[in-house]
Amino acid sequence: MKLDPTTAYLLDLGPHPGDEALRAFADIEPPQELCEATLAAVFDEETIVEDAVPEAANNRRWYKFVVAGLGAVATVLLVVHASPETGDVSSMKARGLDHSTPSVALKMATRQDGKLDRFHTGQRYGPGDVLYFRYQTDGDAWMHLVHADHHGVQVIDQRKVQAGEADLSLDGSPLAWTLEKGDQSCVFALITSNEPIDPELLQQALAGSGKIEDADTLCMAAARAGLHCDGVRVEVKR
Amino acid sequence: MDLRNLSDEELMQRVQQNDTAAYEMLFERHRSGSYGFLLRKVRDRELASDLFQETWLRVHRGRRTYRPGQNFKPWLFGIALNTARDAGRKRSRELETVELRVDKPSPRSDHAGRMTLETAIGKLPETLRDAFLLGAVHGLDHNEVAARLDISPANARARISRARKLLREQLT
Repeated sequence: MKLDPTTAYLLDLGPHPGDEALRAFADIEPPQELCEATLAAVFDEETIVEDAVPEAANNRRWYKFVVAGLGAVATVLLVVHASPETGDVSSMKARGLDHSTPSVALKMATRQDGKLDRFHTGQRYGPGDVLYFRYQTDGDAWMHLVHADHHGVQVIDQRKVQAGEADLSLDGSPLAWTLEKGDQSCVFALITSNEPIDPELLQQALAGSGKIEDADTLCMAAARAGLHCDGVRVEVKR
Repeated sequence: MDLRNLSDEELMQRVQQNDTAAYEMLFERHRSGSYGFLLRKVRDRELASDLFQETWLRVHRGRRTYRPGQNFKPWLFGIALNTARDAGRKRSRELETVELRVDKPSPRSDHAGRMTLETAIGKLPETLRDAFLLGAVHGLDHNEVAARLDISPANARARISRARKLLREQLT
């Protein structure tokens, strides 16, 4: 069979046919309506979400919940104690890792079948269950909420916070993470820094720690970078 | 400032500053390449359209994770590849070669030969097809292909070479 120059080149049987010819093969024009829909979707999303969500917080699973009893969330979270399986920052310091960033504690609550409850370590949660987050820190800091599972590490929220304790919220409503079908067990962690951190750099620093779906391992990686961290593993029903 | 004079990387830095015109310029430049890659990868027009839209949404959502100076095209194709993987839908349907090329016939080409090449690419094992599309068709170098596929550069080179060998066996 006689091959055209581009095919011959792609098969390593001929010289480069020129960028234009190669591109004529490589490129396939998408339908016009698809292009228009794509740009519209991007800019619609930007209008709705971007201005309200700081930094890398965009994630389709963040929903703003108008919780009738916002106080109820806070009340539940106030009684939640840091999970015993979370990274033991104090022990890391004792081993000589010095932290200059404010300490942080992550507290979580859940909503299952409409019922608000404290987060229970070891309990299995499933699709439709909602997770809420609350932080406690002893100094003004940049706060990074991180999600890690076997797929990798993702920084899902970054914000400047003041010392104290508060819900992670958006426009007055608690930030909520809704578990979806197919989700696997994962870790949520809060990490503090004195300066903003590029999300990708933070993800790279944490992802190299090995078993990232383990809260202790993830927080050890943060500790090695001189950052305070508190993480909670969420067991998800299969 | 005429955005047409800016490099992809310069445009992407503007996108990070929420410059929508810069985003549209990048979309204009790379929509055909990214769509061609996805269509050949999944071999299903409807799925490719979904992945195309999701890819460009992710480019926008993930703009702050783009490192200044990073080559844009490999970054874009990495997102496209991950989007396709995330979709997790394996398709083995035969590529609709005629429909594929009808959209953009090349007057300089041997059309029959092209259709045969499309069919042959579609028959490659997925790992080889990904490497061939990224490296041979879309011009990423071996290091970039390796990074996108999470393999070594030597392995990337080997996959592309093996893909070419299989294609030659079918087409010559």
